[in-house]
Parts: sequence; structure tokens; C-alpha cells
Amino acid sequence: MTECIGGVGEDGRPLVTRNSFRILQTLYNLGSAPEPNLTVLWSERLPRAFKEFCTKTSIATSSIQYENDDLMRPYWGDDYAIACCVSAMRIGKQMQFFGARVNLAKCLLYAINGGKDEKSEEQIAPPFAPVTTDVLNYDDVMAKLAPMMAWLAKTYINTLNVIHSMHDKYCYERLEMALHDRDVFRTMACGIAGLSVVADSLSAIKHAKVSVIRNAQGLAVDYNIEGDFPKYGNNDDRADEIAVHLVKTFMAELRKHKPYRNAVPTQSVLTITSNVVYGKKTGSTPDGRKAGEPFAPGANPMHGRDTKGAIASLASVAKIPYKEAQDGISNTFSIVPSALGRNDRDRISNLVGLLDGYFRDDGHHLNINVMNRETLLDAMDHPELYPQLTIRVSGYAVNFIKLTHEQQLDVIKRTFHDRF
Amino acid sequence: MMNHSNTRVDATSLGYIHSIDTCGAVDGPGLRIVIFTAGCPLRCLYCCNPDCRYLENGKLTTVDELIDEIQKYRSYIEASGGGVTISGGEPLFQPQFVRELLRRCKALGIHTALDTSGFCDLSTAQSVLEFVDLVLLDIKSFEPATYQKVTGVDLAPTLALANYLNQIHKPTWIRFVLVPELTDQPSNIEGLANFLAPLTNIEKVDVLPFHKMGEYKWQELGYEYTLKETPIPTAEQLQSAIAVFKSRGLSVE
Repeated sequence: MTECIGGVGEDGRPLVTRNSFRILQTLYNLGSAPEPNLTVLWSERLPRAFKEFCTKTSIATSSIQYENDDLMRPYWGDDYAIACCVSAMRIGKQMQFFGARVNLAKCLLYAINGGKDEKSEEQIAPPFAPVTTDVLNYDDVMAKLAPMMAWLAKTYINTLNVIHSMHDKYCYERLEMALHDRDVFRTMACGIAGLSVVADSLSAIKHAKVSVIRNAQGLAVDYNIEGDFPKYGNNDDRADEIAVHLVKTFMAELRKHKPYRNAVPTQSVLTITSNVVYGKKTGSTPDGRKAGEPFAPGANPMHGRDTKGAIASLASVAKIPYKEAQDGISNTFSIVPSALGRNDRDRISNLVGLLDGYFRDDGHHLNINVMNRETLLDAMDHPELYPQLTIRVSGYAVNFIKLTHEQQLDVIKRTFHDRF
Repeated sequence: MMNHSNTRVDATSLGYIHSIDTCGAVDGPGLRIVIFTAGCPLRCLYCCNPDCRYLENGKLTTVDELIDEIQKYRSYIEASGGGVTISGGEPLFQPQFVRELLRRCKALGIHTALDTSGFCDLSTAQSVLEFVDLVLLDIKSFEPATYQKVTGVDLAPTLALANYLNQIHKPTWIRFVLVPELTDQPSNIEGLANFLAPLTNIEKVDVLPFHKMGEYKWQELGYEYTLKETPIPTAEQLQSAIAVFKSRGLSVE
């Protein structure tokens, strides 16, 4: 369950009352919990005192996600709520056909291998021409990626149509629909995983020299990179524009198909914790990520690849256009308290500035985790001491100790933006 | 010290930059773009950026490039009441370049801070200070012998700059690194506190606990790190140093 707090009315009134404070106060009174998924609809015009209470509570509990009300209001008015993890919907007037996400990194590998899976070696996609050169050429790979993305989008929508028509046929959710208006606006909520992996891979192919390592069957299974290349997450347009291009291109492909019940196709850049599983099932990629390694979550840059600090990383993600990803562009920001300021007052105020800056630049969503690496390492060893340690992962909150060992390691490995 | 003067093509528009941190939250008010310049005449034993010693450790960068980069973060700077901080290395090691960079920031209405050890001719510092809103002055010790031991250079220019900053009423934050067995003698701390107490431009004193987060860089660079066995200060040691400054009426965090 997701609970929205704050936002600003279309008439300019901040929708903040004493209850808004009370709901956040429950995090102190009852402790943090995975549900409800507390979502602050952020606007530059929210009262300063409320903004500061939000960031103070984030610093204390890491249990709040923020979404850009100023960005969403023109699309959804001021009577929307957040469904699923981060998707805005007009209350009582909309529903989404949930569509999870597809693995864009795998799609790139299929493009390189002519539709054969790099792990099972089976022909999965249609047998398009594979890359035959030893060194990857940007134009060649892009020319092969385009039809593979088109095939993926078509297969994806078709699959979701089957799933949702069967769901309605055998398990129609009449109770939920009883609360809706007669004419419901439906979205087919698609999504992509592995955005930063593909963006960095294409950037490496374009700006460095990436050679293919093939197995006995001739399938590309690994890559050798010579030279440096711009990486998504450093506010460098050379890489960030590739990420934007991918999001726009895949959305354009989705829009070419007719979803079930005339739903409108939309997409998210959101993985929850599936970035770990998708990574496990995906071979090595041309960005230097090895087979089995996790993807970055949601729209996050890959951990360890940002060299200019946290705000450059935020600025890269803010470039992904909401218009092309209306189910949400999820970004998870983890920081240790000492990197936010020398004292509580500075930390609270700097975090307000960070949110105002990110959302002024059209960033859509931000999870904020304020913690120490030590807290997490200790929690892995002594889960019994941290029953309530809640962290935010791409659009929802989870108990850290309920994550698998691999997911815990992934969370810890993510850039902590700790500077010394 | 190597002489790098002949490698500087155009000292006003070009300079050596080690790196940029876009999320500086402790080097001045608000969120700050921190530009780390390369090149430093000091050899502080605890230096956490020994990879900034020489100009060649940095990348030759133009003022225009840096201004373009800074402009990308206007939303964050404005929303947080932040700005730009020039750190290093020692920024005053490249005074013409840093002066031009700060001048351009001021022309854009951006708050500027200069993080310096103060080790340079006063006239060199004066030329830059015109475009500086806040000075972060690192006084690494008050007793000249200790200062020499810690930094390898003379203390006098730093104190001269501190006095000058007071004369011109330039807002200043003092930074002092507390290193057990090195800078923690009561006479050293009390001396510094007594020196600072009458200065009216000091907004606060940061007492920074020694840490060894930069030690791995020394190893990578093949430099000998002499503080391997030095403990980090305990909370009590830190509090007692802070108490000395507070007792002189200084604001400490």
C-alpha cells in the first residue's frame, strides 16, 4: 500500500495539513516499516517547515520516497495517488495493467548474437543477422539493436495482452473496480531493466574499443574494453543522451502496438530488487559488467562508475524524460550522514536543497537512504538486532534482513557517495 | 619542489584540476561544487589527497570548461544556498587561474569559497580574495616547530593571511586537524585558540578528527605514510579540543 503526503493543488494551495506531519511522525512513534510505502509529493512550493520535517525524518529513518508533484500535476491533476511503486494515477478514474519489465541488456546481447541467448545458446528471438566483426562498431550495433527492440516490444505487449485478458476472464477484480468511475482510463504499464548497462555498453562501443570474445559456437560471451569512455551518471551528455535515446526508442516501439482493452502503453524505469535476478541471468555486457553481476537498480547509474559525486549522478537521471516513462523513473540515493553536512541543521537543509534541485531539473522519483555502511554490514551479521531496518529499493521499502545475501551485498556495494 | 612554471601555457585561462565533487556539503554553506586543483607546496603527514601534490597530477582544464560544468548545477546551488568551493591541492598555487575562475563565478552571482593553507605571499592571496566570499583557512598547527613538522613549510604566511583576513573583515572558517601525538599538545591547541579569539571575522572553527582514509593513496603512489601507528582521536580527545576553542568564545562544530 502506498500512502501519498503533500503536493500542491492546481490552485496553488500546498496540500499539507497537520495530518501530513502526523503520518510522518508515525515513523518515530511506531518505527519504520515496509508498508505503507510513504511517498512525499514534493513541490518547490511546499512549506519550508514541512520540507525540513520530511528530510529530518528521511535522515532518521530512510523510509520515505519522494516524487515530483510539479512534474506530475500537469499530467494527472491534483487528485492523483501513487499506485504500485511509483506510478501516478487519478483516483477512481484510472487503472494499470501491470507489466513488470523487460531486460534491455539481454536485448542488446541478442542484437549482437542474432537472437541467440548468450547463456542457453538457444535461438530465442528471430534469427536476425548477428555482429560478425571482432571489434564492435557503434553504427552496426545500433542498426541491429533497433529491430531487436522492435521485436521485444511487440512480443512484450502481446504477452501482456494474453496475461491480462486471461486474468480478467478468470479472476476479474470486481471489488476494486466497484470503486472506480464507469469509464476507466487504462494503462499498459511496461518497463525496462538494465538501462545504465545498455547506455554504458553503447558508450563504450562508441568511445572506446570493445572487442568480442566468442565461444566455440561463435557466440559473443565476453568483451574486452580498451580505453576509457563516458559513463552514465557523470552528467556527461555523451553517455546520458544514449540513455535518453533508449527510453524514447523503446517507448516509441511500445506505442506501435494495440494493448488489451485499448489501454494506453506506458513504461517505467524501475526494477525493485529484480536488478539482481536479471543480472544473474544475463551474460557479460560490453560495458565491462561480467556475467551474473547485478544491474544497477531502476534508472540508477551503475555503482562505482560515477567520478563526480552524487549530484552529477542525480543530474544524469533527471535527463530521462518523464513524458516517455510515465510509470516512473526510479532513482535510489544512498548517502551517509556525514556527507550531507557537519551537523543536523546543515544535513536537513542540504537534503531539502538536494530535493529542490533534483525536482527543479525534472527528476521524477528519489528514494533517500541515509545510513552508514557499518549499519548494513552489521545487519547482515546480526539480523536479529535489526528487525526494523528498512531501506528503500526502487520504489518501495523492504526490510533489509529479508533480502537475500546477494541483494544485501548489492545494496552495500552501491555507491555510498561517502567522500573522504 | 619541482619547477613547473614553464608548463603553464596561459596561466589565466588554463589550470590543472585534479577532480570535481558535485555534492560538497561541508566545504561552505549549502550544497557546493568543489573543484580540487592539483599542485601543493605542503607535504602534510596526514594528507588525504597526496595524489594532488604536483600540477601534473591534474588535468589541464580551461576556465570556460569549468564554468560550463558549474552552470549545470545552478538548480542545486540556488535551492540549497550553496556555491562553488575551490580546494586542492593548494588553490593559491595557481593564483591567476583560480582568480579568473572565482571572478567568473562572482559575475554569475555564485557564492564562492576558497579552501587554503595560506602558504603563499600575502600579495598573491590578496589578488584572489577580491572574488572570495568565504575563506576556509586551514591552520594545521600553531606552534611553528609543530607546523613545520606536520606540513614541511613555514607557519608565518598562514598567520599573516589570518590577520589580513581579519583586517578586511572577510568571513572565515578555521580548520584544524586534531592528530593524536602530533598536533594535540595543549599548548598547541590553546595557542591557536588564543590567537583566533580576538579575530572578529571567524564564523566558526572546524576541529576535524584525523582519519586514515587517504592512506591507501600513499601506498599506491609509493610514498611512505608515517602515521600508520597513529591512533585516530577518541571522542573525549575531540571534545576536549573543542572545549578549548569554545572557552575562548569561538563557535565550534
